[in-house]
Amino acid sequence: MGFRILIVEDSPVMRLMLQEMLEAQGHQIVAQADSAASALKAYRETKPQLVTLDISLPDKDGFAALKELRHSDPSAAVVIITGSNQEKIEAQARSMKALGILHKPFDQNELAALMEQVSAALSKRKWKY
Amino acid sequence: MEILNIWQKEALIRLLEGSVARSSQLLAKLSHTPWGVMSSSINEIPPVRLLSWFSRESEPQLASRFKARPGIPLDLLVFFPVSSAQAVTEAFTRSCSEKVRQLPDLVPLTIAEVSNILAQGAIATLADEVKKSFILPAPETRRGSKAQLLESAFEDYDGRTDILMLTHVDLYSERLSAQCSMVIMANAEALRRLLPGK
Repeated sequence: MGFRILIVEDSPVMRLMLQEMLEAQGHQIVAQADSAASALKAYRETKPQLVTLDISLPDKDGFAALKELRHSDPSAAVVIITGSNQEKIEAQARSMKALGILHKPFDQNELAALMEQVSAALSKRKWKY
Repeated sequence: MEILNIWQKEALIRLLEGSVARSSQLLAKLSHTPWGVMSSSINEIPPVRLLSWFSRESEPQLASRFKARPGIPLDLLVFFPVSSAQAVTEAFTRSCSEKVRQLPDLVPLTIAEVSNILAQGAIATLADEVKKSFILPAPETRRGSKAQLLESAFEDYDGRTDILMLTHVDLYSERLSAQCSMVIMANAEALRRLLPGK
């Protein structure tokens, strides 16, 4: 199942690499954002099914952005894609109900595994409601 | 005068050794080829002494600096000689499309991202040890000699009175003929407050 995805990532190289990897896996990239502010705007405008969120953004950290996103849409589906593998950051991602975390650097197989995890989690949500 | 006690020094050495190992693993994954540690050292050192060491190296570098914020008592600088930056960029993007490889400023953009991944990996061991989270800001990536780039980082320290704990690591890939250096520096007094005493 392909998702409509918003990519939030401040590195132009990573944004493009991630776009190409996700499109190769059958997903549609509906918007890209390079900051928390542009991410919130893009989310409101495009209503993606999923957001991939880097936690190191130039204007505020990704968790602050996630909090604002959830304020706007409590059911927003988000995965964290980050270069950081700190225990507290992982714990915070889980407590903020991120559907998954992917650590950079990653390959197509690791990204595909994350998207399967997301698909399973979102299917459970559908059944619940 | 030694600012860190023996347990803090041992903890710091253990953490930094973990950071070095993690950095070489990350570089290997990024570039699809093994990297080794050429040299690594951990010292308490005045900034002026390190600057004089680095002034002997003139090869132009691409360097990314991750500036310490309140709560993060570290500065990290990641250096790639310009020739190595090209090789690492090609390795990092080799399986990407032509569109990626044709991006303007591909080398500095890629090095910024590679450096970000390395710096995040390096700081993770300290963060986990002190049970805090450190989210690094986006780096400043610049070109220059090591001494020039380091000098601008030292502007935030008092060269006469600050003692820095300094880790300097040189990593090397034989297959890529590429090098990477990392300098992790922290005000020793700030570290003393952060690390467990015993």
